[in-house]
Amino acid sequence: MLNKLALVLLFFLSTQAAANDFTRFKVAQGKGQFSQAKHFTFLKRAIKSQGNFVIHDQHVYWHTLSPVRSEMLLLPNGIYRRLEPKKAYEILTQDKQINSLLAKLLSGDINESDWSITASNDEHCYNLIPKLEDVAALFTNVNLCALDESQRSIVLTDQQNNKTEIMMVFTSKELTKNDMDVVKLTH
Amino acid sequence: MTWMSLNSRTKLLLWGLQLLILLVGLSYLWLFKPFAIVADINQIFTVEQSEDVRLVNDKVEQQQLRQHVMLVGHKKRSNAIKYAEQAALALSDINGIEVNIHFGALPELQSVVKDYLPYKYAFLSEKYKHLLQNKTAGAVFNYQFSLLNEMGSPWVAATLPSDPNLGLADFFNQQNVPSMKLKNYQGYLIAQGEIKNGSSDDAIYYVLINFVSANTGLDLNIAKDIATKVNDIKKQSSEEKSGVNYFVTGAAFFTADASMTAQNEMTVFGSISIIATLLLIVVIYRSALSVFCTLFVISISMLYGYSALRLFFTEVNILTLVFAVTLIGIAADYSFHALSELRFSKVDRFNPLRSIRASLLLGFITTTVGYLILVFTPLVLFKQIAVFTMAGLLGALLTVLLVYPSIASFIVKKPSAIPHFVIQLNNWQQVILKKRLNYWWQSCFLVIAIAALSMINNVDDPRTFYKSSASLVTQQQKISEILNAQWDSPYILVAGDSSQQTLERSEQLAEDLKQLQQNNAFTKYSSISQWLPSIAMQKKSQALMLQAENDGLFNQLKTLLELPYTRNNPKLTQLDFPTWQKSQIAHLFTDQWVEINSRYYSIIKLQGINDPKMLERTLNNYKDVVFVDKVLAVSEQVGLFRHHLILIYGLALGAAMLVFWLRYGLLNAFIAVSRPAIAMVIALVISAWFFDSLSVFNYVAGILILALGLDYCVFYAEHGLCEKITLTTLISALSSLFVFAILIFSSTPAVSQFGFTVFIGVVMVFIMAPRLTLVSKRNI
Repeated sequence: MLNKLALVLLFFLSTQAAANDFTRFKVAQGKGQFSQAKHFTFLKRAIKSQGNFVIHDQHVYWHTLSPVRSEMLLLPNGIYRRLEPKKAYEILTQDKQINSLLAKLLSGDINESDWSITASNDEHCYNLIPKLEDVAALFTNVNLCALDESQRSIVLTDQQNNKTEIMMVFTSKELTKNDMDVVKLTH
Repeated sequence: MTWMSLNSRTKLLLWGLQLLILLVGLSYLWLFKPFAIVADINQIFTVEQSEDVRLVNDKVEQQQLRQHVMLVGHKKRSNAIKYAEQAALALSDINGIEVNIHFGALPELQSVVKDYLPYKYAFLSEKYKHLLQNKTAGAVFNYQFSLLNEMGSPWVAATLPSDPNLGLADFFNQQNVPSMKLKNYQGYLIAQGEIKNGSSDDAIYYVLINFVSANTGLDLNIAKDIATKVNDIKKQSSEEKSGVNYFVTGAAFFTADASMTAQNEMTVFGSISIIATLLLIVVIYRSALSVFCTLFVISISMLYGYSALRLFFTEVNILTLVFAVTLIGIAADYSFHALSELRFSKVDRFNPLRSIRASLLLGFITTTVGYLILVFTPLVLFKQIAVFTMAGLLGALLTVLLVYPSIASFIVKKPSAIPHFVIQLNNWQQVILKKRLNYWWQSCFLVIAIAALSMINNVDDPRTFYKSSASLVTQQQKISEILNAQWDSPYILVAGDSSQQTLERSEQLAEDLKQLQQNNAFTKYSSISQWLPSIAMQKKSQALMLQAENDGLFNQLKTLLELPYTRNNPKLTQLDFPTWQKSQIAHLFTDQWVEINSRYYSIIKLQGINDPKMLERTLNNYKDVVFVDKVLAVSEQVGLFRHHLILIYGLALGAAMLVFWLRYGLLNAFIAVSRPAIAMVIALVISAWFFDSLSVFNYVAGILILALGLDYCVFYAEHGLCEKITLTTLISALSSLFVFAILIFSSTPAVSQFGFTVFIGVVMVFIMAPRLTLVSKRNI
């Protein structure tokens, strides 16, 4: 009897583990290209941008190349931005919960303590609802899909139902010294 | 007929009469004069401030003293609320406090935006204004696009439909919303935190309870009630059983803790000192009456000290009472001198204390002069200690001179033999006296010791003088972390004759504050002017935006957003201060605005202050702007006082020198005053070596060393190196040591430092004082 119960428990735990297995999303380090489209409910056209990114140990460098150049750093202690390469970064926010969750999201580090997770009809996708209210004030819902080994899409929906679609394509998991330098706040 | 030639009965009558007057006076004070014992250690330091700064600072301090916070945490929100309700109910039993657990709605993003939207173009960040002034359309578009494209800012979506130029979104982006960690849930303010659970973090809900003492300031009894009640609440629902945890902070908890520590120390130290002193008396005088007499003298001296405190002060710090224990050791000395005289000498039956009368008076004068100087110090703690000790010593002297003659016949049956070890000690003193160092070596040593002292690190920071309970400090840090409210206690005060003038003056600081921030003088600041620019500034922003619109600086963005290029001249209005005060966000700044006597004060809060002196220097250039840093002001005052102490030492030694000069001549007077001075320097050098630094409490201990040392010198100078004086000074030194050595174990660093220095000083002065024997006419 006990053995049967143990078997049932084991089966239950193993299916749970398979359902919430986000290891394929996780990127300890890597780089690639992104494209982003912001759909505001009151605008007819989406605001589009594209550029490069570098991820290293939950530090994210987000380099928009068009239509205008800007650099953003998502670090555990804050989000920083600069519009001109030689100038110093300016801090955008120091809200640790939002910083760390955004950085985790982009580097595929999905944790059940941060999100209420439901699998989408499409087996590659998950629907994430932030558990922390501060984060929920920023985006109410996140749709995360792994299209293949190197591509993923993230759709952030805010309280006003505006959507931000991000497509990330990884081109390499190897980082050069220069890549390692750009994910650091050197100024 | 002098008063000393009065007979014993008349003296006793006189003593009774003056005690009666004292008791009547004390009863009057008890009934009609307010008096409180305060445990807030910061109140022992008063800082000189201009009248208006003092008024505002008092108000700010009173507010801080009254405010208390409890956070009740649980993994389940419903449980956190349940336990918080229980705690609030229990706290509301305490008289004199008002408990709040239900609160109005907190500002939500949309409602904050709604308050600002009617004032088109009035709110721009410095960066945005700078871009508009440069009139480069490309740079303006780049900036606007980066705002539009940004992840992590809710303001763009909230303002874009009404303000497509994104000026308002950028303005809000630059702000730090205070206390936004708290969310209103069904009338409760709840913050979410995280607790480590193995490798992952679990969310935990904290419900806020705020309680405020009804009166201004904080009554010690209410503080104790609050602390006791909170302990009961914690005991009733322990974390292991219920999963609930409580964090508390506020002056009541620190006050109650300081008071408990001081009371415990007073009880333990006082008891040990008295028991040790009484045992000493039993061993030396072998008489129960001697014990009773000494106890009586100590009690009367305490009564005198207490009466003086009630007469001269309305508030006495609890630390004064800890220091007051030292009176036991000094007051008992008078009893010892008298007992030694009565027990070991052949005394005059009609005037038994005749031969030590002058010495007692001279000792009293020199000790009192030492303490009298402390009365003129700027620190109220030292004033209180000095008043208490001087009055106590007067009581002890009067009791010994007026009461002891009446009981002399009970004490003196026949002269007793002096204990053998005292005779041996006396012999040893005589040997030492012959082998004394010559004056050159003494002077050389003194110069080296003073040079060493001048190089020692002196610590004037008042926060190092006392130690708060580690648990309370941890809870305070935890609450700051959960509520994201880690402001430092120093702040910038900006004053003006109108609200607009105050706002304009705050704005003028912005550039320097930014510079100071870049120079790492502090990390963050919060000013009302960040959320509400002055009307003049709002008009300037509006003019810039209209000009930019006319210049076509926004056309690129309009094209992207497919908005029409309409150029109209809308009627622009500005947000004034009274209207802003009714806004959602203003509720979070009520503690940063004060109006007193038709003057308007804005308090700029600071975080992560690293260089208060740089801040003070920079802000000194502005009119009606003050950097209020009590710790810095007190540190400076303590430092100044430390320097003044050198003068005080000089005055004390000078006064003693004068008295000795009149009695023993110039050279002998110099020898007399140099003994305690050398003892003091040695005590300070050893203290500096022991503590790695010196504080003002070590230096103040120097005054006591001088006072006690001069007292010993008087007796050796008056009576020579006789066995009776060796005995008296030995008992006196031992009784003082019992009192001061025990203070070394105090948990309050200030008390411990004071005790250590006096301890070393008394040992040194006991060894050196017999040198005065050579001055004595009676000699060896």
